[in-house]
Amino acid sequence: MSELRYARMIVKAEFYAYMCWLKNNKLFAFMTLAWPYLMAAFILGLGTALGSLSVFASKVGVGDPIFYIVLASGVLVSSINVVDYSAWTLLDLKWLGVLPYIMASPPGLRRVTMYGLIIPAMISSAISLTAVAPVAVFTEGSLGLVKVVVVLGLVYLATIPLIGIAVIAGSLSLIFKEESFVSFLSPLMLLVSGVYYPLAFLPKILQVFSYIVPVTYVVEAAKILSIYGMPPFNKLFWIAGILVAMSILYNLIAYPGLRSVEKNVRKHGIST
Amino acid sequence: MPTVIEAKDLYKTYTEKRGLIHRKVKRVEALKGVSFKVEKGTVFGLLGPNGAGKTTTVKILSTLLIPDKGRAWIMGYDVLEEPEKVREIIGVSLSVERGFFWKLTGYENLKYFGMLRGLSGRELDKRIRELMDLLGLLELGADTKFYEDFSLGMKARLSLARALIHDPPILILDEPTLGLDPASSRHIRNLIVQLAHEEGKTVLITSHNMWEVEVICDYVAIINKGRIIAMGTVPELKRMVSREIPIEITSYAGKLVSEDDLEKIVKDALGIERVAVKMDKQGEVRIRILVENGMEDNVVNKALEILRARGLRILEARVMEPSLEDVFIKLTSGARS
Ligand SMILES: Nc1ncnc2c1ncn2[C@@H]1O[C@H](COP(=O)(O)OP(=O)(O)O)[C@@H](O)[C@H]1O
Ligand SMILES: [Mg+2]
Repeated sequence: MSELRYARMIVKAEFYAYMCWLKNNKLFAFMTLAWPYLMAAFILGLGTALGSLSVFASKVGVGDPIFYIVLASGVLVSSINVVDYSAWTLLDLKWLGVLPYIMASPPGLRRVTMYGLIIPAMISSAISLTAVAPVAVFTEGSLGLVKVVVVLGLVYLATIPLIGIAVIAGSLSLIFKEESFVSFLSPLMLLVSGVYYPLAFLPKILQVFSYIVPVTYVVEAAKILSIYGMPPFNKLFWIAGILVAMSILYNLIAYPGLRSVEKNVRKHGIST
Repeated sequence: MPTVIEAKDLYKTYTEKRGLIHRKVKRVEALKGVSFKVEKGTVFGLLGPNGAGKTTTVKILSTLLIPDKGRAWIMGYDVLEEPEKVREIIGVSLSVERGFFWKLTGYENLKYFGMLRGLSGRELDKRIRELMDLLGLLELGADTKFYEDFSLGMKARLSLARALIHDPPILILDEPTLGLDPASSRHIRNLIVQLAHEEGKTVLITSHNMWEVEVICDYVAIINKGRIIAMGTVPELKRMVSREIPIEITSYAGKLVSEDDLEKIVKDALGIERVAVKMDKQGEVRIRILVENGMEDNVVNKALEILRARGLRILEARVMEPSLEDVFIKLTSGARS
């Protein structure tokens, strides 16, 4: 079977399963929608309690603070969803006892993971950013909508390196039987992406970290979009370029990572 | 009949490393040279107690585990060299209690795994309905129930349905009836036999249930501590335990014939010396015949014929066959001494 047919087959299967899953977990689906607002409300509340929003805006380096916070919360929530879902996938499959069946399926574990994870990532990101679209339109009109679409594009671009990172963490967790690789991943990203505070506030070591995390760049894009009226496409292209480079880099590590998971399982056995 | 599954001299030792700093290595020799062949259209049973190496063997055959030594083929495809080919032609069930997504219904689960095999659309839909019907899952409501709400029997049925989704010629089932309710295990047993004998599929099952293996398997390999200790058809295996099988017939003679006469009649008619007859005061006789293993069916029929011809009423006839359990006990105790 050709690679393309495998990819299409897996994408269809994962789309079906994820849609069923959302249908069967309406609360989760609703939370995916509501989460950006809860987060934004929290930050706005915190911001006004500690000082004024304009102080926040100038400190973090953004334009319209409400527009920014809501949009950035959308970015953050979708990124966290992607990372969490992807990173836990391998361990979940193991606990459910599904992993051996995926391995014994004709496309195999590597394909099902790499192609399969794109689907839930895209669906959940689309839900989270659709949720923030009304606020963007309310604050900036149709230009706000354009900005949301641009951010969604960048988020989609960022999902590929994010999945790569998550799969690396998931693989390490499975091989070393150590969950912390997975469980600290999204809090770490939240910390270093500089969503709600300037990166300069972070210790140097975490600042370095923030450069290798894709979310940072999407957040940066959200900052830029909140400052400019028309989206400055030259700057955004740079960001897109960095994300593409990261996609390649991380997945070049993730793929062999999955291969070693498979090797490990086939050597040491896995509970069925 | 062509051989479709072959395992040749499989060895597997698990090494388990514990602790990050003080690495302790635990070694378990799970397989110590396992070989067998399975012919097309038969049900082959790998019988053995817990920890014997059944699951390990199953995993190697289904490309999920790499042996340290030895090879295995499924329909000529090497499980190590051509795992993709093997995965196309086998249907696998590894555990009856796990292996599906909890928040999907039985139908949705099957559809997902079917799609992973490139099936789709109305054809897949039809296949799923057929299988769910065949396994009695529809009447149990498994098409709309979430997997998390399934009983163990339903889970086992769904696991077999998944193994069958792409209509594979080979089925590899690890303890397919483990812990099930009687109705579910009977359903699954009947289906396994039907799939092999009527549809020509080849089925390898593992079990620690001697009785079950005896009932459904055409050919049995007994595995213990990583080694196959006996192999053959069920009657062949039983012949290993004892050369002589007792037959007991109870009948009512009344005043038709005396104890001694009856003994002589039976001996002469059967040409067997080892016959004992005991009659009580009410005229009930107990006839015990020791026959050579393999002859028991013939002898019983003939003995019954003779008794009926004399006008005796038959109350009960029993062939005291050894069970597979006797075989197992004899083989393993022999190994110990
Ligand atoms: N992944 C593993 N790591 C270490 N030991 C294992 C592993 N899987 C099985 N074993 C051990 O190998 C032996 C054979 O196991 P298994 O093949 O599962 O037996 P069975 O299926 O006949 O009960 C047992 O002693 C078991 O504890
Ligand atoms: Mg087992």
